[in-house]
Amino acid sequence: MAYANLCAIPFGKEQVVIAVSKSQLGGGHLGIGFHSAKNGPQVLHLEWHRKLRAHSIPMDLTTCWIASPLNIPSGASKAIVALARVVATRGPTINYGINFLAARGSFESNGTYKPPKGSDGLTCATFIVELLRAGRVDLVKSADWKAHTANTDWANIVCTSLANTPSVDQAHVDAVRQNINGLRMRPFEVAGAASLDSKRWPAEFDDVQGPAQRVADQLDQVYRTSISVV
Amino acid sequence: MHLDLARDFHDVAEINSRSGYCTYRQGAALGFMESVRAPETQNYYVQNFKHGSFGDAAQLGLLLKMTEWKQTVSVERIGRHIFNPHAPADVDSLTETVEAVLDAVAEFGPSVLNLRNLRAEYVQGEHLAALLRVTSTWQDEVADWNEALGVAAKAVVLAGSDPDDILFGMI
Repeated sequence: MAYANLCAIPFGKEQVVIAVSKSQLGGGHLGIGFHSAKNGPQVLHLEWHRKLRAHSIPMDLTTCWIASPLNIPSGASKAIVALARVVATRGPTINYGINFLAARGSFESNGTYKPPKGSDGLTCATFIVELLRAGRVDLVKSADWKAHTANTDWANIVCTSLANTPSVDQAHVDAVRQNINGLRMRPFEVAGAASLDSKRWPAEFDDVQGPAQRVADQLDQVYRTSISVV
Repeated sequence: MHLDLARDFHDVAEINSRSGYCTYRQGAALGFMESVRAPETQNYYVQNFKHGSFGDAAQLGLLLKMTEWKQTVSVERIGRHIFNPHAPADVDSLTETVEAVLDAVAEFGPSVLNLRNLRAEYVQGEHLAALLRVTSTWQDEVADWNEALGVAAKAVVLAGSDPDDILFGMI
């Protein structure tokens, strides 16, 4: 399913949407959209280290987001909305970390964030992957993800950024640095996986590369349009 | 203590507000409990205050009874929609069930849930499915979790819905 401007796509109370925006680190930034019980539609995303944000749509949005409804049956979708609401309400403290293999199972099914032993935290993308996994929606086959040298560059930038963040202690930076291995689950890849038919989940690395590029192109297109409108 | 959802669930009479009991013995313990049913949402809220030392076995027993009572209230919250086959299954009511399950598990652990003796005719399939989805992490710790999955599937069919839709990712 194609991604479109988050502020323009209609999505109902019983749906969740996968939302993507641009990122300073490249590769996109990922969130999940749903209708909260009291505050209307929101996008929930791990902005950075210990910064889980829930922004109202469209009032709180300061950047261009595109989104697409998650392709799951409505009956299951309602339960995922309930789970997302619980996580948003609880606002767990989540470290920013890159080891997504160790982070598998970070969310208990009831929405409690409980990082497994060896986990250094989550990224914006693995936050969404783990949240959905807790609701029995397994988007990607993360164990088979492939390493790339560009990801090592990204991880080094992450470590530098963490080190420059006053609230991050050095021990966490060191722990993340030790996990640099060329593996990264890019937001566009997760968004691409979400756009596949659910029968293809958990999606393999090679299967999501094409859809990931299409999501990136769609974001560029909507971004350019929004800039020209301004 | 294990609570059997099918056995222990029963409707709570409507209460606008009520103070429970307050006991105090010098050097022993003070226990105080308040409960209230919200008039609009019908949610049931409980506050439990505990102070003092518990050298007195009678006082300790009192506090254990409080805990037991809180567990009973938790089960009643969880069962409110699950044991009403005609309960609404919109996202707001499902959220109530999920939150109730979350609160119970957070306070008492997953083993407080006991899904024995459920019958498809007497449950709301979507709410039971939501309970199962959010407790799937602990399916080995919740008594008869797998059997309840079959009950949920039957209840969904009885309600004229598609179990592949409601139980997506679980069957």
